[in-house]
Amino acid sequence: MVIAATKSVWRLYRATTGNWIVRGMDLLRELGAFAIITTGVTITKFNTARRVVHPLIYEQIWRAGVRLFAMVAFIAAALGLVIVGQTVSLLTRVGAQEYIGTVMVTVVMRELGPLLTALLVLARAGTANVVELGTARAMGEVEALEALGIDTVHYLVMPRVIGLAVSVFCLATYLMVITFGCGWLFAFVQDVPMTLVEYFGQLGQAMRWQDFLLFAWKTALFGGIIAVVSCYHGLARPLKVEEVSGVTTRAVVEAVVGCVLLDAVFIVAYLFV
Amino acid sequence: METEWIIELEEVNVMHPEEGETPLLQGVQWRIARGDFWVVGGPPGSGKSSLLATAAGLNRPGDGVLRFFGRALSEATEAEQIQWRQRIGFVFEEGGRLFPQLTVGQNMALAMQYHTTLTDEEIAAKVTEWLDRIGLCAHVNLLPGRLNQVWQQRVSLARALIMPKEALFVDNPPVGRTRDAAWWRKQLAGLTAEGVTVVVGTNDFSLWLDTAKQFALVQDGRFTVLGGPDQVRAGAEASWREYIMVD
Repeated sequence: MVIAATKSVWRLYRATTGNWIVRGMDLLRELGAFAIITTGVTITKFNTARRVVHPLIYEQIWRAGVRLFAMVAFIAAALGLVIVGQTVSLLTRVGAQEYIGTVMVTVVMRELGPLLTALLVLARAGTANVVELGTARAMGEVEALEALGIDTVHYLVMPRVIGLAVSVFCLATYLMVITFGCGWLFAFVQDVPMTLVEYFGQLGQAMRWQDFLLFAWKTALFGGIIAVVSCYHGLARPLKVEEVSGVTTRAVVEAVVGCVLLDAVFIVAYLFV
Repeated sequence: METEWIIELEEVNVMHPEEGETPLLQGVQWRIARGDFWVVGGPPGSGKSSLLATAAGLNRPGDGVLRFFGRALSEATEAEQIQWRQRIGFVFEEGGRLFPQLTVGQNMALAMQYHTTLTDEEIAAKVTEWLDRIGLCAHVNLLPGRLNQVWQQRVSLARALIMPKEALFVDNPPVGRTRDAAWWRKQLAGLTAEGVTVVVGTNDFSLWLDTAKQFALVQDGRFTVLGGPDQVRAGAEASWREYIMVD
């Protein structure tokens, strides 16, 4: 009786949690292998066929970076006015204005800026990657590239990885600058007794060179994760029209989880800075 | 003179590139020599396209040994495989799988830009030369979607041959209209005369009886070599005549 019950519980566990874990591990292994292959190709073939591949990198920077600037600027302005301005105002009211720089750097530069930018790029460029590559695969374009002796990872994936990494870094930098600027503007409107020089002076004092280094790594890796996950799902198998939305949603969820996990790793790194 | 085998399939199981683990064709024995002109026929869905893609190195065989220029695919490095692909061309069926975001000229120039150090002017001259050869000079700046499938497949032929090839696979050339059929036969016969090995997948043997040297059949999961044109003509009672035109 007890043995039968134990067996049925074990079967239930395997059918639900167990399978879920195995599928998750499988996905992690496949994504890891794809990321390693892409990294290898990027390192060894960055300058190979540059007149074909480098324009594709610029195109990705244009699509994922430049064309997203207006949206990022809008979000950054809202963030500055709504959150940063209020925080500055509140800290000043309670007499804790000397912590403004530390709070701003921690919130905007270390955490909110990179993650928010990554989510915006994921929504705009990551989803587009899944659809484009899935369609290209379904239309046989990937096979056509192989027939021409063109490395598909080099031609299709590498430009997206570099393009998205550069785009997230640049957009996060703009987001940070605009947020800080608009934050001061809101505080100024609210008659916070702090000059622009004092405000940016505090921010400057709170920032260390390690912050810039980790900021660059973090944003570039966020872009890399978004590109690898979206390209993997686009190229893993040819997509039928009815599958596109499901696969795109899965790619978005996995990219968000990946970025959050990476964020956790960086939180640990910040503890040692 | 000793025969030079450029592609050899030994007990190869041909798989569908995307779906299923059951082989489409089992135990394929096929050797393609330099200068051969093969025509492979079979009913729709029998696995002709998958066989051609496997023999060209685009599909991985499920089992067996596949050799290119005397070297087994399983032992080849990635660099060797890329080099083979530059020596073996492939023209896909139904429009030739051109890249829809690139113009006709860009489609043809892509492989040269990727693999060679030729200047843009030299590549443009090559593109013009090949467009002239396929009769589509006026369409160099058009996107492939503006052309019909027959012309798209011509561009695909030019894209495959713009860099010199030792072997060319053509999957289902458009032979529905007599003029197209004559054009393809002339082009491929000309290639054989230049020493290029040609393999054609088709449902119509009749068009190739005067041009091809060997014929093979894909049917019921099996690959069978029929022989030369005389053997094909002689097989008047054969079951495959139901779906492959000969007369």
